[in-house]
Amino acid sequence: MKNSILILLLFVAGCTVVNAQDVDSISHNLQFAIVEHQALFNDVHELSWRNPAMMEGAYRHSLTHFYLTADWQKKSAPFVLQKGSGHFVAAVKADSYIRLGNNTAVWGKASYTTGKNHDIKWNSVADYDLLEPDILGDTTGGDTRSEKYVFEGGYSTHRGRWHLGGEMLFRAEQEFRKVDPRMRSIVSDLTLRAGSGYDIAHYTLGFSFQGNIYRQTNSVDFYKPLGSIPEYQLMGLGEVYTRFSGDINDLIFKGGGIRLQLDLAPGKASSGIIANAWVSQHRYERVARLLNSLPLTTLYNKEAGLRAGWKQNGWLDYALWAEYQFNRRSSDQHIAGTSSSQIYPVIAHLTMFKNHIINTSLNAIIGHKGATSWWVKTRGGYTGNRQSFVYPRRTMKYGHAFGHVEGQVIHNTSKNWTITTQVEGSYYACVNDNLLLPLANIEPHFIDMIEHNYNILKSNFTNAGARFRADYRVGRSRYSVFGELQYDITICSKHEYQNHIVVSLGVHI
Amino acid sequence: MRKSLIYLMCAFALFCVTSCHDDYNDYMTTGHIVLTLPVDGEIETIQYSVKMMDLNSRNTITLAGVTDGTITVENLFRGAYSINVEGVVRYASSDAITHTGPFRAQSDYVSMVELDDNSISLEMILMN
Repeated sequence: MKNSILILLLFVAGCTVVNAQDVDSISHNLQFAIVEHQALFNDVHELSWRNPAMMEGAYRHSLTHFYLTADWQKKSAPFVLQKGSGHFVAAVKADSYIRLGNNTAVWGKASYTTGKNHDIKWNSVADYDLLEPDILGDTTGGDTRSEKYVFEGGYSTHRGRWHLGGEMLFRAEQEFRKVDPRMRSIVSDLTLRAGSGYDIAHYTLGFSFQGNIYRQTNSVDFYKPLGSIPEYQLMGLGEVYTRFSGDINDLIFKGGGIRLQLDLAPGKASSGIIANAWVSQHRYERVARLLNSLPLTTLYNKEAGLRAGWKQNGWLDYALWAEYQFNRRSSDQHIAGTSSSQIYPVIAHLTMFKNHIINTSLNAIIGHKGATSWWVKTRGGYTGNRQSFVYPRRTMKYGHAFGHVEGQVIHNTSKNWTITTQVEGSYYACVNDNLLLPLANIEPHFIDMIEHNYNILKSNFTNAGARFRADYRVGRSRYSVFGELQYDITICSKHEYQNHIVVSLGVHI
Repeated sequence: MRKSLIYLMCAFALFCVTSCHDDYNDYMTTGHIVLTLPVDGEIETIQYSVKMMDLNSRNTITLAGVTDGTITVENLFRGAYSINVEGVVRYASSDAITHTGPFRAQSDYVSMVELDDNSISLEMILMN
C-alpha cells in the first residue's frame, strides 16, 4: 500500500506538471501565487469554498506543492485521556490548484501520513472526536500507530451566470497497537460534494450538497490470555453498556450523513455582504459483530450554523462577520431482549446521552496585499459544551469566553525570496462549569477518568504560536522550494501544558 | 432564476424539518408483578422483598412491602430485567385451612418496555 501511495503521488505530480505547462503561462508570477494561496484573508472565504462551485473563483493563480512534513506534539499530561498525551507523525503530501483557462479550475490533494499516538486510554477506536462517546475503551491503553491515506479531487467551472462544481474526498486509515490490548481500527470515509452558484449583480448565490459514507471495523485482541482486561462499551460520562462489555471486542461503526449549505458571496475582488447558512445530520451506528450484528447504540450528530458579515476590498482589505454554530449530539441505546441462538432482538430504544455544543464569535480581519502583505485578525466569543446522561443522572458542562489575535506578514524580499511570518495568541477563560455524578453507582476508575478530563477541560487556556516560512524561487525557473517551521504552546491553568512543532520542506510548481 | 431560488430554499427548509430525528424520551414505566400460588387457594397477604436487575446496565433496584398478590413498581426504568422475589405468604387452601410460610419466585428475563403498564406473572415456590 505504501508503494501504491508513492506511485500515486508521483502520478499526481506528473499530471499536475503536464497540466500546469499546458494551461498556465510559464511567466506567471509564482510569488503572487504563493502570497495569494497563503493569505490569512482567505479565512473570510473558506466556508464558502466548501461549495465546490465557488472554488473556480478561489484563486487567480495556479499553485502546486509537494512537501514532507513532521508534526510533533507533547503534553505534560493528556488533556483528554482518550486522545492521549501527544503524537509524532510524518507525512508526504501533494496539494494542487490549477486554473484551466479563465472559467475552470481543478484541484486535488493526496497524502500519506504515518506516526504514533502516545498514552491513549479509555479509547480503543479511531476517530474519537467523531464517535465519542459511543466507543470501546479500557483502562490500560497505550501508544497506537496509525497510517492514513487521503485523496481529494474537485472540478469547478463558470458558464455564463452559472457556477457548477463537484468534489470527492476519500480517507482510508488504520490505527493499531502491537502490544496488548491490541486494538485495530480500519476506517474508510467517502465524501461527495456537488455545488452550484448563480451570479446576481456582483454576488454569487451558492447552494451545495454533501453526502458522506463512513465505516470503521474495530477489534481488540489479547495475545496473553491471562492478561486480558475488560473492554467497556462506553456510552457517555463513564456509563457502560455492561451487558455487552468484557469480551465483545469486535465492532463495526457504520454511518454517514448529509450536509446542505447556502452561500452569498461577492466576487473575490468585490465588496459586499458575505453570508452562509448550513445544516447537517450524521448518524453512526455501533454494531456488535460477535452478536450477529446486534446494534448497540446509534449516535446522531446534527449541526446548524449561520455566518453573516461584510467584506470590503480596496487598498485596505477588511471584513467583519458574526458566526453562530450549534451542534447537538445524542445517542440512542438499543435495548436488547433475551437471546435465542445468540440472536438478540432489539425491544426498545432510549436516548440516553445528550450533548449540546455552541460556538459563537465575532470576527474581524484587516490587511493589505502588495509587495509586503500583512493582515491582522481578531476573534472573540463564547464556546460551550453541555452533556448529560439520563439515567443514572450525570451531567457535565463547561463554557469559555475567548479572545484570539493573529497577525501575518508576507514579504517578497527579492525576486527570489518570499518570507512569511505569522504569530498568534489566544486566551480561553472558563466562565461556567459543573459536574454531577452518581458517585455511589460508579466504580472509582471511571470517576478518575471523568474528573481528569473535566478538570482540564474547565481550565483557562493560554495559547501562543508562531510560524515562519521561507520560499525560494530557483533562478528564473517556475519552481521554488520552501521550508516552514511552526511552533505553538498551550498552557492550562491546571499547570499542564502542550508543545507543538511542525516542520515542512517542499517544492512549489 | 427566481424559481431556482425558491426550489433551493424549499429544499433547505425541507431538510431542516425532515432531518430531525426524534429522541426516545419515554424512560419510565410501571411494572406489575403478579404472584400466583402453585396450589389451589387464595392469597390473604404477602410480605415480600423484590430485587430487579436491569440486564443491560446491571443496575439493581430493591423494594419491600406487603401486598395481596400484585407488586407494583412505579418509576421503573424501561428495559429488560431479571426478577427475584422472596418473602412470606399467608394463604387459605381450598380446604379452608390457613397456611403461612416462606416463598421464592424468580425470572431470568422479563421485558418491561411498554410505555404504560407492564405485567408479569410469577408462580411462587413454597419453601415448606
